Amino acid sequence: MPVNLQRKSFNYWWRLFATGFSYCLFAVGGGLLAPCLALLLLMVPIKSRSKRNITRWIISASCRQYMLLLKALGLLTYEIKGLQNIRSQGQIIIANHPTLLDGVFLVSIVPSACCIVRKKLWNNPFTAVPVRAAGYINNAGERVLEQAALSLKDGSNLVLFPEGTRTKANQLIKFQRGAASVALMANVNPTPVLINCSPPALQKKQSWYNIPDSPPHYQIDIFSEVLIEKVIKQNLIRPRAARILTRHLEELFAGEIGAGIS
Amino acid sequence: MLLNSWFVGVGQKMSTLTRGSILQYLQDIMYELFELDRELISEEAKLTDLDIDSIDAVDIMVKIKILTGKRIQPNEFKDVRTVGDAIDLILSIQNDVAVQ
Repeated sequence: MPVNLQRKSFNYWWRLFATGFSYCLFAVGGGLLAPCLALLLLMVPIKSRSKRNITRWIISASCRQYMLLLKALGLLTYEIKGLQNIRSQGQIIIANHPTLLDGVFLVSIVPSACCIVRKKLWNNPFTAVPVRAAGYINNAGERVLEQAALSLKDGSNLVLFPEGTRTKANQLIKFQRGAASVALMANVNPTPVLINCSPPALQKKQSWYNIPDSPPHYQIDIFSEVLIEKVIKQNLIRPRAARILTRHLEELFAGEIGAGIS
Repeated sequence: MLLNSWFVGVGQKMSTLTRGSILQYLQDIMYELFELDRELISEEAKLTDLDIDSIDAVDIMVKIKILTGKRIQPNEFKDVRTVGDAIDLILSIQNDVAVQ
């Protein structure tokens, strides 16, 4: 895309440079430091459960520092509302997924977060060790639902993006049913988290140097949990209940975002 | 009259499974599980068009096990695109059992 050099301010060039730097930092941190730390941790003679918790703590703390850094560099601003709705364990967080940083945000907020990761990250030589050490779940693996329900019982908080991938602002909300199915299987009321990024940035298929004219502002609203018994009043088998709960969540997000549902 | 598909499921007469009776069974379970109208479940119907996802597929596989008495491996079901494919799969399982 041709850039009109004359009209770009100093702030624009600064943010372009800082964005490149931040991408590199993320690659070094996630791609080099994390696997090295995780490998070191493997050799420490402590229980694997402790290793998992330490790994999660390190990931969470790094994400928090990373967000603070992005803010300090002037690349973005953010506001988080409803932090009192985050519990220490056994919670299902369901979020929409407009940008690349959503996962980083949520993992920095949610303690002992367990994520369901793509096969690509699970098998990538750089990220394979950390995601496994953190006890994350491979979305291409078998019995993903059961694994997710087990990790909830084990005290983890599940962070889920039911859209499955990043979606554009104003795009129709379409959730896959896995998140609702886990909630029903584990009988845990899901907690919706609404992420809004304005102006849109870090979207799918957007190159790193395509930065918006002004720094994006992230608004993160953590809602109180959706009571399953209020949504599903009859005694329904799970596949049917999952359809109703998913629809309910889609409508809730669509209503908040102001976008339509499919 | 065709035997009730559930009865076939628990029954020992595996050889009585025909394309028609399997289709009827699939129509029954897909109504029971997903509230899908029976008319929608034809041999040509694509699972994606019926909004069947991978979790639903597992639920279907559990039901097929009740019918055939044999567990389907997830990778066997991966190639199933249409209801007709599912019927083919069930028939092939039935033949495996017969050979044993």
